[in-house]
Amino acid sequence: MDININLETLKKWYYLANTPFYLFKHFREEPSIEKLSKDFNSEELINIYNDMISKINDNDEYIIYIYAIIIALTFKEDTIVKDFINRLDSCKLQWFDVIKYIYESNYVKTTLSETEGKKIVSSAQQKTTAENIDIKEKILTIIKTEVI
Amino acid sequence: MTEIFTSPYNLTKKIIVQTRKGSNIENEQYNHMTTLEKSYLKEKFQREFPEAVLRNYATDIYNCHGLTFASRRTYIWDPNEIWKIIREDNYVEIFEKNVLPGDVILYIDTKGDVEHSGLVISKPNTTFFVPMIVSKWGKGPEYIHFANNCPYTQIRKYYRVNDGY
Repeated sequence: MDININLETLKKWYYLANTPFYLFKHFREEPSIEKLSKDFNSEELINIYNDMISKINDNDEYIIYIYAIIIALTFKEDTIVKDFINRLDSCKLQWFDVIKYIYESNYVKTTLSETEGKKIVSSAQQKTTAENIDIKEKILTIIKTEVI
Repeated sequence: MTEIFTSPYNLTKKIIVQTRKGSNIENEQYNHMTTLEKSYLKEKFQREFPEAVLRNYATDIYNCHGLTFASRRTYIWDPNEIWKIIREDNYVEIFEKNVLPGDVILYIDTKGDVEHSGLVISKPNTTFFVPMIVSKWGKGPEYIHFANNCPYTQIRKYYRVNDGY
């Protein structure tokens, strides 16, 4: 590997993760992931990802590296990354779909708070109205810790 | 009936899990952990939490939520599904001082993600007023531990099914 991450700490978060939200949050908070996003530009990271995913196997360390690259990419805001994440093959890893959803819904959530929930549909770039309403409901469900 | 799909990474299987009201609960069974990984996790957690009592070895067939809400049969990874179970199974929140064996504990982060869950197995002790829990730590083993002595340190809430009178 020519990338440098804090594998021991990331391993811990990977194994402790009961939900993809937990994995995403703790990987993003790990300084070596943010450093990774600074050390490489988007295209370089995507190239490393493509190289690794073509050799994917059941080794957990390998999987941790792939998650690390994906989550490092979420620090970047250019359209290359948005397009790349949008096109991620959901079959490759167990939580790719949810990571994509978290990435996209975080973007929508920011807009939601900015507009007090009135313009959720317009903020969603390529998404349909129905998809955005669904995302909005999911976000609100997560944000409200409902107590009966 | 099961639905099976393949990936280059592993074989993942879903089973039918439903709430009392009949809503399906999203779940997946993974099964690709090696003996080496299981051993690594057992040693790591035992080193970091020596007071915790090992109850069962690491597996990724089920997670903590699968232990708490699906009888150790599968991995429930979506926190929305946990809130659905809480609603549709008539759970009500209980103060920590009033918990009883059989109640459920949820560890919740500030955004509402249910990071962890477990089953209460004792009333709060008289020294620290904290109950004992059995829970599974991610893909790691199951442990018996005090509610405040595990890798998940977020807000703790307790729930009990309440069918009323």
